[in-house]
Amino acid sequence: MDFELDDTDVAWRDSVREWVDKKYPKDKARELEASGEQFPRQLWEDLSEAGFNGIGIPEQYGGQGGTVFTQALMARELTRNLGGLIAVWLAPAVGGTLTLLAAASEEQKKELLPKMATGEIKFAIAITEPGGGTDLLGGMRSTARLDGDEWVLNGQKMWSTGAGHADLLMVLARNVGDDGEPKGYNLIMVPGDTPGLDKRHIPKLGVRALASYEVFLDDVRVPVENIVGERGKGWKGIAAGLNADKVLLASCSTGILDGVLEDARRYLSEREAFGKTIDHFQVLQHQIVDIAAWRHTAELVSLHAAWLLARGAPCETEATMAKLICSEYAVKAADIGLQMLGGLGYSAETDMQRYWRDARLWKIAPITSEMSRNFIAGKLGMPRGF
Amino acid sequence: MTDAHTAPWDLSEDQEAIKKAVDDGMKKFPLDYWLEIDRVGEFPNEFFGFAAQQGWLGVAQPTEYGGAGLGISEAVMMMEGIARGGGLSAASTVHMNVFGTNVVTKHGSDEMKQAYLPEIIAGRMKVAFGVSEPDSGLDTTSLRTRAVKDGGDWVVNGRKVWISTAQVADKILLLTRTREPAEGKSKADGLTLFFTDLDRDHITVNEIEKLGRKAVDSNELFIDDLRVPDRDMVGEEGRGFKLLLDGLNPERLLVASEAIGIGRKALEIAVEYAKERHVFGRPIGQNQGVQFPLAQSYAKLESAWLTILRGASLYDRGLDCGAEANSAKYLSGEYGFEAADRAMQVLGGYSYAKEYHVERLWREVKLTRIAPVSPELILCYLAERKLGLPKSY
Repeated sequence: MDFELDDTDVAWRDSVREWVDKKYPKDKARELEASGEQFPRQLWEDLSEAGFNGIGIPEQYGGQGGTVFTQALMARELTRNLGGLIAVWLAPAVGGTLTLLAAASEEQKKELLPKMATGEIKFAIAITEPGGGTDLLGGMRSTARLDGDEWVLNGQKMWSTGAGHADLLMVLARNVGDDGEPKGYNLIMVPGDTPGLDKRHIPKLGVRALASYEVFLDDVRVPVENIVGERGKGWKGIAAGLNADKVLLASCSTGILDGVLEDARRYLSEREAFGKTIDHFQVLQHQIVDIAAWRHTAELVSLHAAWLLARGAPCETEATMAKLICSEYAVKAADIGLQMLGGLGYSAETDMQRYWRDARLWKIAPITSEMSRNFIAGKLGMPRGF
Repeated sequence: MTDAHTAPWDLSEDQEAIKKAVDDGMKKFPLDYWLEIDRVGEFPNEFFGFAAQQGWLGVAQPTEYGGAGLGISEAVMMMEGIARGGGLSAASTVHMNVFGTNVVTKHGSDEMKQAYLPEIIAGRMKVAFGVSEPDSGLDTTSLRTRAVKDGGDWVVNGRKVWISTAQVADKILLLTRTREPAEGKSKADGLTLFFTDLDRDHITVNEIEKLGRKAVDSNELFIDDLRVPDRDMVGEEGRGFKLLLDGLNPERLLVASEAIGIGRKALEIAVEYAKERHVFGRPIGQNQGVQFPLAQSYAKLESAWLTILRGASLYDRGLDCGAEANSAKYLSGEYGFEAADRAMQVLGGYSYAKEYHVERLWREVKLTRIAPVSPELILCYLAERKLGLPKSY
């Protein structure tokens, strides 16, 4: 076994780290998050200019190339400073790019992917509904009906992050067959300004500068060619991104662990109480060691899952485990970090509270820790427990 | 006072009555009220006025000044109910008036008490508690704010941090150093307490943006040549720190009861949701992975609550309650937070949305784990004072 990154990967990781420290140090990310903006436009433009939106898009479609492993290295470094704002890159990279690569026509790919690589087009995903998070398909009510050369969409979507500023929404809805009965699912691209679309901002705990929305579709009409993949088989495009989403969130969680460890160590070495810096206290040292051990574990499981996925090997169990392990460690570490900073940790002028709020989402989305465990239990051959 | 009855684990009549009154009163301020308060970040004057009018602010103050003359056993019932109704935003709105000025009640001059306690109890006067400094959180006696005698006045200069409600307060309890410790005495010697006007010409109040409890402001204070008359001194010169120590145990019990109230509310929301939310054809609460953590939190919250009641009963009877008050604060902070965290997990994506309220409770209950004393320092206290282990710091 060889655990070394090759020279190209090391250079890539270092260059991303250098970029984010220069362009988006933690202070700047924190100010951005507190700005009250609902879309971090400048961040999006800077990520595009740096070429990050093109990573994972093949060169033939105007991207920079690279695999999910390349993306994983980048996601970790960016998240170390950006925290949950990494979603401005992650959501379109998974829900847009991977979906199109897996399910779109050659013509759609040639038209859209180059513009996504340069940041000209922003995608948001509108899949989840109020009645179904984990039981996504079972709880789905939205419909897409063909009327002449147009799709007519009706229904309601939940947690569509970035929908307020997206050029295109990737919407999954039940396909209404020619006999009027539901048959499968359609994946349809809906321009963000289409009449009949209504969006309501959902104020939330973390990642506030990248707003999430409830989306209402009321007789929304789009051209027939906006379908991605075959009619009734829209799930295929979504399924293509599921493992990547978990793998990349595992890397993002590792980035949170990096940030927490840095900030906690610096604070402990500077803060004095009872006549010495508080890193002299054994309990605090032990907690730092725990966080360092969690980060080491997170690094290994996240990179292992990314490596499997990049090679095209089956990795459902590994990807789910990596997401479960890394997100839970990230939240635990941020919680301990906040405790170490005490009152200062509760202040919005330090980053620990931002890591704590942001990482908390990843124990919930895109799949909860509980459902992750159910899924893995099944993979281990245990009877269905839910 | 509970333990004096033949059935020591039952609530007293006073406790039952307070629980009912607070539960009824808090119905006028439902969670949506607090959601909006948290969004705009304004001090909840309407609720504060209501609490005063109900007599809540004076629950543990003497009747001669307009208080109810009850004890901490009743005050914890009240604060638990207020926190369960509106979270820490609600509890912190009244917390200072309910107990923060206890040191004035116990050690202030008659003149001071007659002039101010009725105002505080009636909600016409708000008080800030000016003890913490940037370089002395728990290591309080190392504080640097100085008061220097000048004729019949003291002139105060220094900095304070984490001073709640200073944006709206009329008065401040100010701990200062008036002289160096006497030979052979601890650093606590020479610290003097004043209860004085929060004079904004000489105290600059800068609000600190923070994680939770936006409506009840926290601030950094810069004190520049503040003149304090001699009559504003509480207790004797140089002996102020010891007076504050008297109030630490009841303060811990009250914060503990607030943590329990928040934990119980989060648990209640989670249980309701787990019953209603159907996934894969059945309520999610039917999953052991969902129901066991909730059941466990229930048991933990109840056990910590009993510790609070026990501590309060000891305090009200004038008995030592250091170990109980500290244990109660420790357990309640940990279990209250755990309950809120588990509620987050049960509500899934909705927990992350503000409109489902658990989000706010989760942010707020975290503060009960940090302030007024961290769990780490409580463990130090228990290890040393209760278990006789050597001092570790």
